[in-house]
Amino acid sequence: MPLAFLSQSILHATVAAVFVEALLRAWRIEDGAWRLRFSLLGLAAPVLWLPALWVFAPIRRSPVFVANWALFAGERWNQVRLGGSGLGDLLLLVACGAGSALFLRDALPPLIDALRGVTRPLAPGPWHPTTAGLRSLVAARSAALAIPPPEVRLVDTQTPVLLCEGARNPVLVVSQAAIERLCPDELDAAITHELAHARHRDPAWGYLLIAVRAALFFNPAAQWIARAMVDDIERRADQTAAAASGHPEALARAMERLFEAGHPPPLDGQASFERVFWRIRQEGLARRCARLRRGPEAGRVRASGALLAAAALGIVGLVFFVI
Amino acid sequence: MSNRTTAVLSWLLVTAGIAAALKVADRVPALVAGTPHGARPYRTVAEAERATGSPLWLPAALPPSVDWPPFRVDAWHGPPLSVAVRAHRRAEQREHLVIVQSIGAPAPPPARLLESLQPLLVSDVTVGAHRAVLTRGLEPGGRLVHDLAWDAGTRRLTVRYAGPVEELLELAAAFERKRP
Repeated sequence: MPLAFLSQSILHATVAAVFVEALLRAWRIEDGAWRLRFSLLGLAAPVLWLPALWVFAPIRRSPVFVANWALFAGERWNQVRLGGSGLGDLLLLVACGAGSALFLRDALPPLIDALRGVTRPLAPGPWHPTTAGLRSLVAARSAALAIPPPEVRLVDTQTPVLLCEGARNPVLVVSQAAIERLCPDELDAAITHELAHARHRDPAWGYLLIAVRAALFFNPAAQWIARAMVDDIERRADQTAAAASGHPEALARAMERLFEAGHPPPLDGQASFERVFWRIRQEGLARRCARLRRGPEAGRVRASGALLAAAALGIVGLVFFVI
Repeated sequence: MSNRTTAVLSWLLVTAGIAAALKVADRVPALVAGTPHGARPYRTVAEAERATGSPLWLPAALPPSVDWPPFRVDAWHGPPLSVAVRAHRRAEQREHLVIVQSIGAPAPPPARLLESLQPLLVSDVTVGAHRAVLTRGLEPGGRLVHDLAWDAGTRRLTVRYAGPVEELLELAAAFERKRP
C-alpha cells in the first residue's frame, strides 16, 4: 500500500507537470503570476488530489478498475522482471533516489551555510552612509510599488548579496560587495526586483515550497515543479520590477554582474556535476535576461480563470485514470 | 481563429496527446513480457488462487504430452473474474493446453486470455452430466486446435487443446471426476 501511494504520487506529479508545461507552451502564457498559478495546479496533484482520490475513490484501486479503466497502471511494469525484481519496483527506487538527490542538492547548501554562520549582519546605525543612501532608494521604490519600505540589513561578506527574506516582515539583505559592483541604474532596478518579491510575499512562498519539497523529497516530478515555480516567482518579480523601474536592460545587466561575481565558473578539478549545475544556472539566467531585453510578449491566448479551471479539470481527469 | 477556439483546441490536443501517450506506455510491459494486456500473470496455480481468493478447477489427470505444472496463470478481473492456466507441450516451448474458467458467472473467455478461433466444425458433446460444445478450428497463427466449453454451476470452463480430440474429451471427464 505505501509503495502504491509513492508510485502514484510520482506518476501523478509527472502527468501534471507535463500537462501544465504543455498547456503553458501551447497557450504561450508569459505572465509570471499566471504561470505560477498553473504550476501550483501541478503541485496540487500529488499534494491534494492524490490523498483525496485515495480516500474518496477507493474504486480506483480495485482489480476491475485497473484491468478495464486505467490509462496507465504502474503495477503492470512489475510483469517485466529484472534480476528477480519487478521493473516497476526498480524504476520506483531509481525515481525516489533522483527525487531525494534533487531535494538535497537544493536544501543542503543553505542548511550548511546557516549552520556555519557564513553571513554576519553589520547592523549599522542610521548614520551609516550606505544604509542611508539605500534607505532613500528603497523608500522611493517602495512607494512606486505601493508597499511600506522594508527594513534594510547590511551583511559583512565579500560575496555580492542582494535578496529579500522574511515571511511576515520582509527584510532587504544587501552586502557592500553587491552595491560596489552595480552602477546606479542597475542598483535601482535590482532593488526594485527585490521589493517586488516583498510585494508578492515571495519569501513566504519560498518557505511553503521548501516545506512541500521536504514532504515530497522522494518525488522527482514534484521537485521539478517546485523548481519551475521558483523560476515563475523570479519571472513575476522581473516583470513587476521592469514595469515599475522602466529599465529592464539595467535589471538584466545587474543580474548578469551579480551572477558573475557570486557564481564563478567551476574549475577543471571540480566534479563534473558541479559544472552541469553551473551551466544550468547560467542558462536559466541567460533566458531571464533575454526575456527582459525582449520586453513583454503577448500570449497566444489571454490567461484567465476559465483556462486555469480547464487545466485543473484536465489534471484531475487524467490522474484519476493513472494508478 | 479566435482566442477561445485556440484555447479549447490546444486543451483538447494536449489532453488527448497525454492520454494516448499513457495508454501506449501502459501496453509496453505486456509486450515485453509476452503476457495479455490488462491481465495479471502469476507463476503458479497456488499464487493465483491466493491472489484471486478462488480455488481453480483443474483436471485429475492429464495427457502425457502436457508439461505440468503450468508455465503461467493469467487472471482477468472482468467482471466476471476469468483465469487462464497455460501449459506447454512436453519438451517444447509451445503452448499446448489452456484451461480458462470464468468464476462467479458463466461467461465466454475474454479475448485477452484466449484468442478467438476460426471455427471449422462445431458439435455438441457431453462432459459428465453437462452438455458441452466442441469446436474444431484454426488459431490466428493457422494452428489446428479444439475448444471444449461447458457450464458447471457458476463457472464456464473452456479448454483449448492442440492434441487429439480423444485426449481432450478424457481430460474434460477428468475435471468432473475430481469434483464431487
